[in-house]
Amino acid sequence: MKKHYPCGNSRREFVWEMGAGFAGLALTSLLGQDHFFDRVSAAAPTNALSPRDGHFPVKAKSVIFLMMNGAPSQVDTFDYKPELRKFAGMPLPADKEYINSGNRKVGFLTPEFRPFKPGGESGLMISDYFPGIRKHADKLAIINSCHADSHAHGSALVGMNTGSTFIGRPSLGSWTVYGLGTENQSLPGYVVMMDKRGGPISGEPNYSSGFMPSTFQGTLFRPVGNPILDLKGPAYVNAKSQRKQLDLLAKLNEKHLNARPGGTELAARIQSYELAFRMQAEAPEAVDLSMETQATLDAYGVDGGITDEFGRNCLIARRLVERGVRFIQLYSGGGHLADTWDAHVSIENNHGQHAAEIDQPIDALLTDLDERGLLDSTLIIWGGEFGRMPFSEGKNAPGRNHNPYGFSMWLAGAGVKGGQRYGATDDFGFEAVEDRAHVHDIHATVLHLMGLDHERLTYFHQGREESLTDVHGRVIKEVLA
Amino acid sequence: MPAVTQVFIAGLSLLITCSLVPAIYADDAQAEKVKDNFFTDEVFPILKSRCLSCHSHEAGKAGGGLVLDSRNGWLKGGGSGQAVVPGKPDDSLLIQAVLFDGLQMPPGKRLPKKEIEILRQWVTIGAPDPRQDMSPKADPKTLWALQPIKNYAPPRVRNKMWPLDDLDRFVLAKMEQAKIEPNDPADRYTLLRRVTFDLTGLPPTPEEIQAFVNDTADDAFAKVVDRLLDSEGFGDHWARHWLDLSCYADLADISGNMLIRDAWRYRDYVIASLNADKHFDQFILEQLAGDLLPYQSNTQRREQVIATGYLAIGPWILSNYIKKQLDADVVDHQIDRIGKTFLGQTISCARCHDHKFDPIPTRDYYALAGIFHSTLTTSYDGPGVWSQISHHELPQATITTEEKQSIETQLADLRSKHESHSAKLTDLLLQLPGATNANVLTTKDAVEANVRDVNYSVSFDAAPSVWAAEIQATNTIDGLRIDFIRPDGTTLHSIIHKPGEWRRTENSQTFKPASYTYTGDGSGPVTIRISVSSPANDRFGGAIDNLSITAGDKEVLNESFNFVTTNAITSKQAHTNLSVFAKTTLQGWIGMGVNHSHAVEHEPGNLALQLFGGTQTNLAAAKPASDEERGLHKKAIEIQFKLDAINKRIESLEASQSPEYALAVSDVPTPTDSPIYIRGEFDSLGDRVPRGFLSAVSTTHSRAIEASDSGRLQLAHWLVDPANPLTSRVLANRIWQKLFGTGIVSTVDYFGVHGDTPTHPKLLDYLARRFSVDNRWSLKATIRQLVLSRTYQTASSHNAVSSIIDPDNRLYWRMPRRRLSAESIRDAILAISGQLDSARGGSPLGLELPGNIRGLGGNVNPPTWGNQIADYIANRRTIYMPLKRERPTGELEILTVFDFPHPSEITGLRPQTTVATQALFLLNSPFVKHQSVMLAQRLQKDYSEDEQKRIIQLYQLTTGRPATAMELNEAKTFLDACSADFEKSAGNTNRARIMAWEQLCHGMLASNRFLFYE
Repeated sequence: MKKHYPCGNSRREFVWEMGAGFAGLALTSLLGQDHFFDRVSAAAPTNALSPRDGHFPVKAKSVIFLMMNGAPSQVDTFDYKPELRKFAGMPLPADKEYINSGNRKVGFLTPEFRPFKPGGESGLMISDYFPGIRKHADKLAIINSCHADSHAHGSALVGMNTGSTFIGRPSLGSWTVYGLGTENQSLPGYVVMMDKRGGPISGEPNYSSGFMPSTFQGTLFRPVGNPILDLKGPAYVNAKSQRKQLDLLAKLNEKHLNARPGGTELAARIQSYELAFRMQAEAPEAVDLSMETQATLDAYGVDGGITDEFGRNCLIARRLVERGVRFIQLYSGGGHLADTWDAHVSIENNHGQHAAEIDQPIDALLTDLDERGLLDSTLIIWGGEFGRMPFSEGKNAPGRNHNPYGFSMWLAGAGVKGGQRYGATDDFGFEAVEDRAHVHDIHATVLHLMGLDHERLTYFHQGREESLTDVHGRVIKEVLA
Repeated sequence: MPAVTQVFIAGLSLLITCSLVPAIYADDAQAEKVKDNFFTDEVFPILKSRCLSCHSHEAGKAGGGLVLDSRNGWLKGGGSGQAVVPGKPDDSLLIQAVLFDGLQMPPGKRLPKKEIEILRQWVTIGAPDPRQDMSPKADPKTLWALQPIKNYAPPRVRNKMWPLDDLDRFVLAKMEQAKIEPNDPADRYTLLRRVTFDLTGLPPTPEEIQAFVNDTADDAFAKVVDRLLDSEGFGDHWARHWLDLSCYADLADISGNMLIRDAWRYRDYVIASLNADKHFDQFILEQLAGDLLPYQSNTQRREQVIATGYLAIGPWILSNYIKKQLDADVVDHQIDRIGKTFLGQTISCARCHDHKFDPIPTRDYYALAGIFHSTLTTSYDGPGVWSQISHHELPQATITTEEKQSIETQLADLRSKHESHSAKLTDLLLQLPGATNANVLTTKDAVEANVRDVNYSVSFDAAPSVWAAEIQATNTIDGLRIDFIRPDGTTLHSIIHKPGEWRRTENSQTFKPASYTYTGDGSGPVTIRISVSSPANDRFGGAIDNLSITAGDKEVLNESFNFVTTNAITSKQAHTNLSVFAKTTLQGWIGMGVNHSHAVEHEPGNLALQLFGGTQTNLAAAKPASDEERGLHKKAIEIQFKLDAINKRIESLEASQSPEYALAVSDVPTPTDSPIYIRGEFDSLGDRVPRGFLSAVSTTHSRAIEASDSGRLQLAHWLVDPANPLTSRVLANRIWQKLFGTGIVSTVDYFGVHGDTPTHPKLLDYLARRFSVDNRWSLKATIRQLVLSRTYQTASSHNAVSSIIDPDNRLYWRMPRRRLSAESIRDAILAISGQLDSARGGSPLGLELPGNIRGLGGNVNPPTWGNQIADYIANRRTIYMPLKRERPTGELEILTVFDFPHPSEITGLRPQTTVATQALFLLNSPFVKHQSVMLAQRLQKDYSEDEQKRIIQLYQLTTGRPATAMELNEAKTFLDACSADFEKSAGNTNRARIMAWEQLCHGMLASNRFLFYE
């Protein structure tokens, strides 16, 4: 029965979530040699991360969210605005109201810095910043009418990740693994990989599980070596001595449990050690690219150059998808200003660099997933926390200020109807005017694509059924295949 | 929440067992609850997704006249009659309709078989539907939590020997009714470990263990309890429970890292209040309205102002540029916090609409909102986007006149020494180019301002600093220095101008005029040199503008500082966003120092000269070229050291005198009622609602809120009003939950319609009365009674019979087995390894560490904290660690791993997870590994000769009892095997044995024996 309503409409489930533990796992550990776990597992609780069906069947099994930290400019990337050329050098009409974030200089309407060209059979117009992604135009559903609640990076990013610019709510990834669990119990269900230049300025709230247990928290993955904190002990502890210690631990815990019949909480903890051992073996393997062919590495741009880092992360993302990780988020841009997509000073310099870092890797990721048949079961999301102004920052200045009133994101892969643009900004590319898509609508759509109803995916918290989209959100049916 | 696993198993098998429910549950209320859960979990989702869109008030549709959003709805039925006949699925139209038998519902789309089966089963078991009370809204007259607290006599029990306290009779009576035997008492080792962790969060020491097991007196346990309640550890532990509810953090805003300095005072206040057993009604009054309470002394006033940090500290998004939104969100959180913490009510739900279930109309929300809108929590004085958390200067703790005089004398002496040393240093620096960062500017041409016996007047405008960042503002030692130098290089006159300490009270950009005089001696035109008065400091000495020298009516110099030689704006200043022209020169002046001519555009087109002090590093790095320079350099460094020492003494003396601040609230000048924000939106306003309280909750009398009052004081009094049944019930339930694992009401933060109902309603009333009336809100007295009860002292062992009748232990036949909390794991490991630092209190941020205040230049954000935990903080108890406004990471990762609450969440009951990252942490983290080494060393030191004693001690430390003979043998076998292995790699028998010991210690710390207490 449980399967049909995994998402907690009840007090009972609320209670369950609080004590959720790992169990029901294949009993393969070294500690299982004496069939110890066979004896305790029957009494152990079901795992909060065990995979479960959503509200309705869908193709998507995994999500890769390509987060463009710092906010790319829509009129220079995916929002083709030939009209803007007519207005070049003119101010934005006075009746367009906006907050001038940071009291920056206000210049004049400025058309795209690099030309747009049609891609694929659909002929979707995509900027020359992304010649690689353009090859996949027929896979993309570009949403040109996104809008957000904040013009400040920190809170807008938290908004894009959690639905609220107020900190403390669970992120999209947390809701997804809360609703669906994850396929591979030896790896985290929700993995976040930061840009090595830094994390988002608003930090942990971006991948937090908020009021849910930390089981649903995003796990920061490091792209080299041991991807998870504490996965390996200090160097001086060798495998053999750890083995000894684990045997001791097993003995201590087993005797302790034997004297305490019915101690399911103790059994669950013993099993968590088993999982830890498996993670020690499997997680480093997931980031180990030595088994990839040179051709694959080349395709992703893992070559020590400008594409190396994001290419590596995209390739790891594919490996994680293959291994059944539910939700993966990759950051492009980290820290402040020029290290992110925050192109106040120069679109060309900033986007030129950042687009070059990610275009080839994303091209490779889409191709690779497609060739492996994984794109049918993987949802790709691309976007930043908001967009940028169609006008420059000062006369003849080549940068653009923040703009939460209209910006673009795109979806591709499982369940997405590609080769289309949805919604539109005004003639200036300034604000979403047609089929406006709020962050809540994006979230509702993503959950829908994952087989989850954003209104039914609720978590009982202190007397209220909380949901990702609160009382808002609308599934954008037009982008569904 | 120890019994969760069983709860879940019971849940899984619910469908199979629900017809048996009445037999296995102890009383009818329990059975009802299980049935209601079945409705909520299984049936309601079907109704919601399949039916309610056409059959509910909320949807505004009643297809065929039928609504299915309440029990009454389907009882009354639609045009075709009653929709559900409890117990008779075949006679129920609803079932016929979903079977497409006649009626076809939902239209055209048959439900999946499973869902039909659930609906059938629901009707078969009598169609339990708890929604009968919630449509449209609960009646305050029937909601249990709003009923007056009754004075119940303890019930009669058969086993008269069992109860130790009257509360045991309430518990036992229920067990007897359910035919359950309570467990036997716990043994002394177990009991001592339990009570020590529960009361102090720490494990008992081996000495305490031995003392208790050997104490045969009748009151041995009572003595232990009194000792623990009197220990400082009590406050350290129980304050954390309170901070979980009050969203405490040491830093602010969304980045989690924005520097605020004084949050810790509130934390220390909570700890001290609990240790002093401040009665809870007073504790509540102070936290809500301490600033409005009368006081007898400065000390009391300080305490009461600091207490309001309860309202001032929270997850505020200070960078929210829509300040009305920020205010509305702050007020909403304050209402939410008070609602949940004291009343167990989700008042915030009424922000946008009347509460869906509980009797809280939107008007009530805005009655409370008016109180908090009339309270100053954050303020914005621009520019930039950042607001500040309201802070208040504290009255000085009382010192005697003699003490004050002595400090002043010392300060005067030190300041004059400081001046003369600074002058010497400046002179030396001038002879050592490249040795300073300090700004020193000298006029290119000498000025005709030295005619014999002429009185010159020097006037200028000075500001403490045009930088808002605190570290770059001046303190009392810093200032400007203007020297008038004769043609022969000697000094005719020096002006030292100290703008005075800049604290948060003064706008750092306010220029104030200053004037000085000197008399000429006729030795020739003077060169004017401007520098800082304290070249050794890495701070700004202040800003100067419009320097003019006059002799009578004649102006001999007029310098506006507006003309720089290059126009390159090198940066924007932090916070102020003012343009800075650095690394340039001012026309007419020669400069030195790395950043010389640091001109700042403080008004459009108006530059001022800003002066920066030198750095020690620069002096140390300078490479003097000649012997002469080397001599000067050495001398400069010597003076630098002297100055440094003087500075430190001045700063510490001043700190004892200088104002201290607390994050605290106050009333706004003109309190006003709040309008209703339609749909919760601040720009869509409705009627104003007079400030007041929840209409559904009783009080002994109404408390008028005068126009000039915010109403906080009245609110506080109302919370502790004897007729208010919620506060004492909610708090008594919280205390019970902390000691017994599960609340009598399991949803400890929510006593509303959708919350749990009490398993022992009479006991809850009894405890609430005892707490608030008999014990006059004394926490310690209440805890003492609870832990001295028989119920608290039972063993946690399994009982096959009892666990079938009451698998969730809701009747308290056993004490639960609980995992240690995150901070208890950390604190206990430190205590066991001997590394726990007993120092307490004070700022946790270590701001004196270099680099611990960041983000001072080049961007528009206020300073952030640099993440370094000072050595003197690192091994203290967890409550004294710095908390960012996000889940802890780095050295405090352990907290996040073990379910420490998010500091922005109101958390009455922490989740308790069992996940692999916890195992990884215990196995591999540097922290546990290091402490294992420390523990092995400690044992080696204490019992170097006797390995057996060491093992016994290890068991006592980690598990609260000595090792048994068998455990001794096992440990020895492990040590032998392990050291034999290590001998090959370590090549040294002693070293191998030590390594084996480290492994044994680590194993014990990672084991369930340590991690759980029972």
